[in-house]
Amino acid sequence: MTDPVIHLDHVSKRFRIPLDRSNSLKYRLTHPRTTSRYRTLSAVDDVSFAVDRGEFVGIIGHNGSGKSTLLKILARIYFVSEGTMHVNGLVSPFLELGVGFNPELTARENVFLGGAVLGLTRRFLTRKFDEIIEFAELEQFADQKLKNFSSGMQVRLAFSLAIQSYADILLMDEVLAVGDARFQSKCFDVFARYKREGKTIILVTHDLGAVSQYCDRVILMDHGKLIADGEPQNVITEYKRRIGELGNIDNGSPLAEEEHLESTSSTYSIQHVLLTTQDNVRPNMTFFTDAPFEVHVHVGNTGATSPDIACRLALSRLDGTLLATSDFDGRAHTFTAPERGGSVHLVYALPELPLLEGSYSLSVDLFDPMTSDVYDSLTDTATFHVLDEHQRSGMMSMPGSWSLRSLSPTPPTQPTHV
Amino acid sequence: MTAALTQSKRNINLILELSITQFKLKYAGSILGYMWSLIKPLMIFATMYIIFAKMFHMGKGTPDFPFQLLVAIVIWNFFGDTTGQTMNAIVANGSLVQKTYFPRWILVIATTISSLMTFVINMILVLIVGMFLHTIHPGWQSLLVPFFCFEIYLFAIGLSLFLSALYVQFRDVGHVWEWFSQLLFYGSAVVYPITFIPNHVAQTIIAINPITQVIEDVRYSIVTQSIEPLNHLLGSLYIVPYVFVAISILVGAFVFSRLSSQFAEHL
Repeated sequence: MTDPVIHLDHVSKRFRIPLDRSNSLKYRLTHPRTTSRYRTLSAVDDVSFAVDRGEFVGIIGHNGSGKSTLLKILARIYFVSEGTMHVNGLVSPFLELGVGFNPELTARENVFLGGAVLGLTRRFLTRKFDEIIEFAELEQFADQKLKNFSSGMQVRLAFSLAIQSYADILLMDEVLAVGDARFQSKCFDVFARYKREGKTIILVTHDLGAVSQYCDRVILMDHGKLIADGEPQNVITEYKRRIGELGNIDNGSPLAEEEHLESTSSTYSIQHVLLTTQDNVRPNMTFFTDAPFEVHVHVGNTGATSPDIACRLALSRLDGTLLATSDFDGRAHTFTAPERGGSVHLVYALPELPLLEGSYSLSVDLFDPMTSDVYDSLTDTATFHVLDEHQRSGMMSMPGSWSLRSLSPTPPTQPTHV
Repeated sequence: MTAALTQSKRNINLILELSITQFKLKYAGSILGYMWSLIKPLMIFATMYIIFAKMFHMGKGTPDFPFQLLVAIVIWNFFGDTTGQTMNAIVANGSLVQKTYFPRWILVIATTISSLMTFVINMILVLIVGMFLHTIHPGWQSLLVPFFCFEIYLFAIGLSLFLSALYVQFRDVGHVWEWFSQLLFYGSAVVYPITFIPNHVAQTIIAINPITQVIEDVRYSIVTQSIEPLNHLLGSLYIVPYVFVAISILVGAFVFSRLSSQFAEHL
């Protein structure tokens, strides 16, 4: 057992927010004796945890819960007010992509500047330059000023530069909030590579789908306090429970509206939901239009006796628009319910996913096919991304085809005037 | 050991890249570009020459006063530019400070580098011009010029550390410094020789300021040995300017290191 790479011991961070606008020299000079009045805000309050090498830790919590402050403490951007922090290893010194980029400079110049901020030397970057530009798909734009780039191009450049950073511990704040689905899937490929390389990753995000699929462990923050720390599913459930209790506090994320139905009659429960491609058992987040898409639902029984259960899936856009449900002929497919204490593994297979490029979310309902009583319901339980190789426009793939029905060799020469 | 080496290598690399960027941005979009940093001291010199040498006859009796004025303007220009620009170093790079970690003094040093380069180039040009005009009378003491240049650079860094750290919380510092550097300009022997001040006390006050000391010592070292060297004038007080430089570095570094941990919060 090695020592933890990050160790936080009763760490607190307090900000003093001035109550009056006394923070000018004039006020200080004219009121030398009055101490300025402040309201103290505990952004992080008595937090302790340790992270081992190679762990992929997610930090979740609603807006203002202190998760970003915690990340800034880890990055040494903020100094702790109380407690101690030990970090053993090289921490990536950036929280966002493209820090240090200047719009007035060319892509080439920005690679050297942004690279220096990441701690990369000019010699290293010169050697890697072609690789960076190629990965960002910007070969023709290397000497164009950054201000002429689209935001997508800027993000690609920033990302392909950031992955050259050789830190042991990577801190990421909402990287997934920027960029399109293609970029997000690139992010996850790199995360997977980092994981294989044994790097430690700390990710702050609202994307519970990403958290449950990639993190080994999740930390839940609320009002500056560490509320839960452990298995992703357990912590996410706790997070959902709290949000359910407290009402919809976080209107910044559609995922926050998730609510685990916990009525007393729900004795069949959805244990977890995984998305995969057809021949891949590994959980996936990114799929391709017209390619196989499978949903695996694990259902457990804690004491129900109903003979049958049914499951319904609903696909929606992230803005909440419902796109499709899995009901066939308006009726759900019925399965024999699992034994008490047992579980079943249901698979819904879609051989050709009709969704075009974008991000979508999946909801799962578990109910009694006879009475339609809902046993368990997971709203927006997984967010996934779809890429379309043909870059078609719209929301859905249209599998129809054109054909020529009748051939008229000479078109009417003159329009008929009446 | 190796980690420390890598860290200092990274810091130097970052200083270089940041100063290269600032250099490029400073002259981006202007036709004459870098030429401006050579022209500006000349323009100030022309103005000051007309006002103080021609209208008020201030350099009378001082050998090669116009050239002495040029040397002084170049030195002052370096000091004024460095402190004025570097005061803004932390605030202007706010996004870097809030989103990344690196030692914050790097921003201060990086901001001084381009003025320092300009200063070195200006000094060399001044020496070349002086040789053509035969207004330079080098001697062994001329070897001290780089030392004096370094001394004023240290003084500027000390003040910049102090000012840039305070400027994060108190923008008032900008206005105060604008006024104070005007005062320093006229309170240092830039536009007049130190012997021009008749009152001995006033002369001493002006002479113990490091800017006067550097200007007078450089004048003595390269222009003419016929002016009275400053150490004769000040006697044992000649140590005072150096003490000021040391204080500025110590206080600047202390204030900066105390406040730098909170830059990210106050920006």
